[in-house]
Amino acid sequence: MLFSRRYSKKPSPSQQFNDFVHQGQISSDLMENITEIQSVFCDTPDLIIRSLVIKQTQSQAVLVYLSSIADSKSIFNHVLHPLLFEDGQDINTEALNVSLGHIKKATSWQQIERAILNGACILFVEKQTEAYIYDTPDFPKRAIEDTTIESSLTGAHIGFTETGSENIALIRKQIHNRELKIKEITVGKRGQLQLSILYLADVANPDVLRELEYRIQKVNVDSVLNAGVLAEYIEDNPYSPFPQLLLTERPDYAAAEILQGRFVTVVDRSPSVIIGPVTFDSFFKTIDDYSSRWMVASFIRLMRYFGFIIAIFLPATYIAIITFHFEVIPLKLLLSIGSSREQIPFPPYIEAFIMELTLEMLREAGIRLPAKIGQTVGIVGGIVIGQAAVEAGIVSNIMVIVVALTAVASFIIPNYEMGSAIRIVRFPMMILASFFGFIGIIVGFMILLAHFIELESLGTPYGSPIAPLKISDWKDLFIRFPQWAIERRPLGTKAIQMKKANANHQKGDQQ
Amino acid sequence: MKRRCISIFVIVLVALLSSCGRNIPLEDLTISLILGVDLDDEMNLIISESSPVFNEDAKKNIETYQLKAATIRDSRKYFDALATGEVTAAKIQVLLIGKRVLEHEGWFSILDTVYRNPSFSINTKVIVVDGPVSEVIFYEPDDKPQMPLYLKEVIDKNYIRTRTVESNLQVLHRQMYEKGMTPTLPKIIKENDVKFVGVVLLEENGKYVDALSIQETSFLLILMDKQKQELTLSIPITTFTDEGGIFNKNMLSIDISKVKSKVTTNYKQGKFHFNYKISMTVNIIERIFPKDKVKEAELKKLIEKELLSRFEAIIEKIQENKIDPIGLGIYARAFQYEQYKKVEKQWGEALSESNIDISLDIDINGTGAIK
Repeated sequence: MLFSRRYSKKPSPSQQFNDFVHQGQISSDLMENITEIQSVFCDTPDLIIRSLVIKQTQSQAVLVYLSSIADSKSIFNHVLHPLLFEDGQDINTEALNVSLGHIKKATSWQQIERAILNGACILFVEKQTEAYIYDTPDFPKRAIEDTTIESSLTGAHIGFTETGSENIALIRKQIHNRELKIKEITVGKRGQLQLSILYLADVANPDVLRELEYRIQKVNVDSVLNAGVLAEYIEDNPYSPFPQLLLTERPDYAAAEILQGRFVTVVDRSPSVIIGPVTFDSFFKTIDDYSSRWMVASFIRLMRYFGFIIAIFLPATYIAIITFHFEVIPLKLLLSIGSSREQIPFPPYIEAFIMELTLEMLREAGIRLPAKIGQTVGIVGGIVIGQAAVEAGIVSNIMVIVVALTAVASFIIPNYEMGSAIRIVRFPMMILASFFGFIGIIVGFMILLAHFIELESLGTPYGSPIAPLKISDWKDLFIRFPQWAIERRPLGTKAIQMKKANANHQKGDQQ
Repeated sequence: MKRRCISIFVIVLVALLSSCGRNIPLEDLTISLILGVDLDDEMNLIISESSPVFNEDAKKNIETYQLKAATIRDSRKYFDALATGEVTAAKIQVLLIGKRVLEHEGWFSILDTVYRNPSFSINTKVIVVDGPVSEVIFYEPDDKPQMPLYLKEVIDKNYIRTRTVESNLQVLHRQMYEKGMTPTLPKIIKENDVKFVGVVLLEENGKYVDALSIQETSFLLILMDKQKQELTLSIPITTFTDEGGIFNKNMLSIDISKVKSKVTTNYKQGKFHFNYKISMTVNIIERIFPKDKVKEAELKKLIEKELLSRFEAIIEKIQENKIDPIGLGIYARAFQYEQYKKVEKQWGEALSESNIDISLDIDINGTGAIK
């Protein structure tokens, strides 16, 4: 009853959020328009309203813009100057003489309001029911820099920035092809957010595109903060620990995924883009896998999968063995574990939880702190975890090794989201192990496996080359085959054009 | 939503309930590593047990108890009364059986719980102690690791070097119930040190009959075709008139590798015939006498003759005692089933009347790095 009442409550009208739509058309009276603008943008000191007489037509006009986000220099040079000083007799009299590329006309207040907030300047002309919108935005932005989270050895050293148009440019730079299409969608009522879905029209599956578009259009919220928020709105299973959409800040990786037949959603104001549909193995690949030689890349990739298993199951296995199944430990190890565990006052699961939680806290503390203090955290953590805790008899030596191995194994996963997911999954496993030993771990593993099999990403199977089994896709799974051996796109993306290369392997001298 | 919350709640409760059972961290257990079974002078069953002590304050790192009990399982309650933690049998490395126990028929049934209780480790080494078990189990030498580790290592090492038979609980069980084979167990003795001295040969019902020395065991293992690593033998060349003097100048050491031991089984004239064809590659590793004393072809014959006499001695011992540690009964059953079935119950006797021939073929592969 408690739950049902709480969740069946219908939202009252006052809780439905305002649509903020300013109805109405602009008037032909200039003064009326100015009054309207001032009433809409009250308490907005950076709003500039400049009256002028257009030399070309000798009519009264008003130029309106927000000085903080509009580019003052281009307004002076390309709007104000031509309007004030050029008579423009040699040109067609219809259009006003402005040296800008992007000019729109608007009649509704809704359009004008949005344009002003996007950094445009608006020209109201006396006795005209149309206003001119000159696109002159100048938002503060960051220069293109090296990637910070997904660093790479041999990949490109360019990361996405917070400007959507620039991010699109970075992808276009990689794919010079007219089939690279962009679908634009706006999301968010208050903080309107421009989304662009990039894909190859002759490769990517239109059904998946429709699904993606539909999900994005269904998002009806006040504001979407960044790509991560959007991903959470559109992902398939919100109750899964695994990420079902891949966020990346690497243009080269995003472009590579587009070429595989996937969709990249560029979110304005966010330095990462959303790649979908993805499969589980996407989170274990880096761009370096493709730029290093295939044997090295395969070895490292196998280590990542190994690390994945270690990070989930090692602490649980430790608990299970110490608590239930000490028989499986070889005799000599048993004696050394026994003597190191002897002084520990806690049962193994409490010991493990203390250490694992300490590790997680240390890791989190290290991320947010400024770099200089971050080092201190490392030292403190190293001494506290590594030495003092053991000497004080709170945790055993073996536990420290287990925790350290787990940490290293979870850091080897190249994708941050997946790494975090693994760290979360570890804890239920530890609880199961402390209750039921190996049987608990096996049950946990079965649940995880069942969940993994049913998981989808944008309606395509998440575990693709493994479950459903698609042997031909295994060329780029655990072992990365040489590039010339991979001639087809992965089946998991449901691409409509599968072949991407012809047989390219060259043997010996060709000439 | 409501249903989901309730089901999660129930799962948590069930988990907590069913896990109240036994989960004891390993440091709180008394993990027996040696189990001893012996008889005292009044023929009372003596069970002893030895387990490691993890506590740093304890001066000794091993605790050993010995007591009278009706059965092995019965002894646990007395051990629990003595030891710090719960006594558990899951990690027993070595089962010591006193020779005195083996002298009585039907001793094997005392080990019933070892097989019936699934928590017992089936890999436990079974070792016979010539003398009282307590002397071995309470022995704490300064220059050796803990006794369980030491005994396990000694047996394992000798097994790898083809000096003792495989002897864990599983193998013993099979040998006891296999009609075409009699059990063999390694034997240790406590003199100044605890040392491995060879194997004991048991009758079909488990009763002690005879023992083999270390070197004899090696030959037995070749007959069983269970040779592991290179096998080293030092043999006196007996043809020399002089006895070798203080420096044993008639000794020859050889490394035997690549042994092929084949048996063919026949039944003729009312008895079994087993023909062994053993071929082995030999490397001379030590030769005390000068080269010119024996020619190479002659040397080969001498070695063959010497080895053959050793094999025959063992076979004689086996037939005399009416036992079958080699497992020739398994061959007989495989190839001469009808005849074997007739004598199955008295296989030892049938084997003692059968004819076992050995033809040996050695190949001297190398004579070492010096002339």
